[in-house]
Amino acid sequence: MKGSIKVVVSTKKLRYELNLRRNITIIQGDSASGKTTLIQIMGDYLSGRTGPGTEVVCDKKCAVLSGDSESAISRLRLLTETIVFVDEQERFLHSKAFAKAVLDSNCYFVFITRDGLNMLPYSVNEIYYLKNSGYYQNTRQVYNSMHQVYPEVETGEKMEPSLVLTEDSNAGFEMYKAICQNRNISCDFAGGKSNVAKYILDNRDENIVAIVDGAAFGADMQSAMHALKLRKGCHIWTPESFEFLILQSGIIEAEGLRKIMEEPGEFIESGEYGSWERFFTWLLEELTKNTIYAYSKKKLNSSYLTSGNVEKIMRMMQKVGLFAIEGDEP
Amino acid sequence: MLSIIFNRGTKDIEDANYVFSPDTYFKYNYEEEWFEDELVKEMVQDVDSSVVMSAHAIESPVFGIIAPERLSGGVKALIIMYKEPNLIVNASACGNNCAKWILEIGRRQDITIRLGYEMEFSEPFDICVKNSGNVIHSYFEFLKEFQEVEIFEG
Repeated sequence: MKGSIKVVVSTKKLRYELNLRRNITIIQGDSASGKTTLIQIMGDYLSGRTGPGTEVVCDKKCAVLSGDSESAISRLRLLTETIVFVDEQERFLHSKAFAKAVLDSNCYFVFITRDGLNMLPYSVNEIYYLKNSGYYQNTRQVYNSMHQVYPEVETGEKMEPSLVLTEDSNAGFEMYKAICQNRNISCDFAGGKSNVAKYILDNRDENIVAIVDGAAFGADMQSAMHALKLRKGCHIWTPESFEFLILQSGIIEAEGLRKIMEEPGEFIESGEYGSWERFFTWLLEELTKNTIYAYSKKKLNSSYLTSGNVEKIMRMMQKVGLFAIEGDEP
Repeated sequence: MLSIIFNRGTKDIEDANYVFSPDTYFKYNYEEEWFEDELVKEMVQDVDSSVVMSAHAIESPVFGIIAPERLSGGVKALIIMYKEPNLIVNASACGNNCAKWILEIGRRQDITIRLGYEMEFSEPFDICVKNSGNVIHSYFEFLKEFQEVEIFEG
């Protein structure tokens, strides 16, 4: 399944509008914001118990998974091209077997959970809370809409770090290290995405900018944000992935690439790629195969480290306020 | 005092007194007299914006008059923590808007909760982290303790 999918759930008293943009969507937030009620309405509707007045409108089939782990996973394996909802009260939501079944599936998923699902690579951009926005268009329906917990807005603030932190020592680290060396800034890696928050907490005297693969950092975002908030001047930058940056930067040119980069969701089949990060890695490897830019995630090809190419990545960092652009006021 | 067991990943608490789903536990075990308690009424008002009229009737701004079973999962978890302090309640059922009430219950009596995310507790507080045995007093210490807990993926 690919592309954005809209789901509208309504009763006489409630209306929910969800816009699902990729395979995994997380809903969390305050108690009493209507998360579990959403799942209950959906479950009742799909079971044919609701009668008139309750509606679920979606171009795709919807399903609510509940009950024991074995039954839920067995049922999931039978579902294709379906929007699957799971509430936090389902124990299997946190199991390894369920995570595997999710990654093997071509369905879209909506999980209600505050706990991180560390075995699933979900995006920081697809973590939402529900907000009651008053009554819907002259009706008695209380309208609930989704809002990003970590909105994609630019702060406008210039980031001048003393240390740039990456998740690991792979290709991205080599590029950022080259950029940092030119500016006498330290560059280090955390040794895995789950260690980013701990690294920040252990280095509170540094102005850290953490650069993470936003497409797969969802489970660790809350911890990182809490750690960063403890010190002014610390930030996090969440491009989809390092491969995404290369593809956006203009280093690689290929027919049709711009269209893919403008609307990746229209091209990424959820059954083939567990996360957009995996898609962009595949795409970059495919486009550079047998060229001087042949890409390997483990070790950055030196062709990417020419001054011109480093400059292209650097410009992308400057666009989000990371490092001053030459000629700018300090 | 409030004690917390941090729990991350796939492995859950194995304890006969552990309540994984406060919602389900509440449905089968709540007692009518719980709703005569002023603190319960305050928590229902604050978290669910609802008024306890009696043990059988709660006035919700969205649903009208409802039974206690239709309260939010968060407030049900708070009520169980308060009324059955011998149980270990899964506080991941509670949002950040429940944090001040968990601290309040912990000030009144000894309770132990399970937590799988970094709930936003406002200082000052005294919390015993069961994983390490440390008593912590700041949110920085809270975050550090949480990060020390292994993410179980087995």
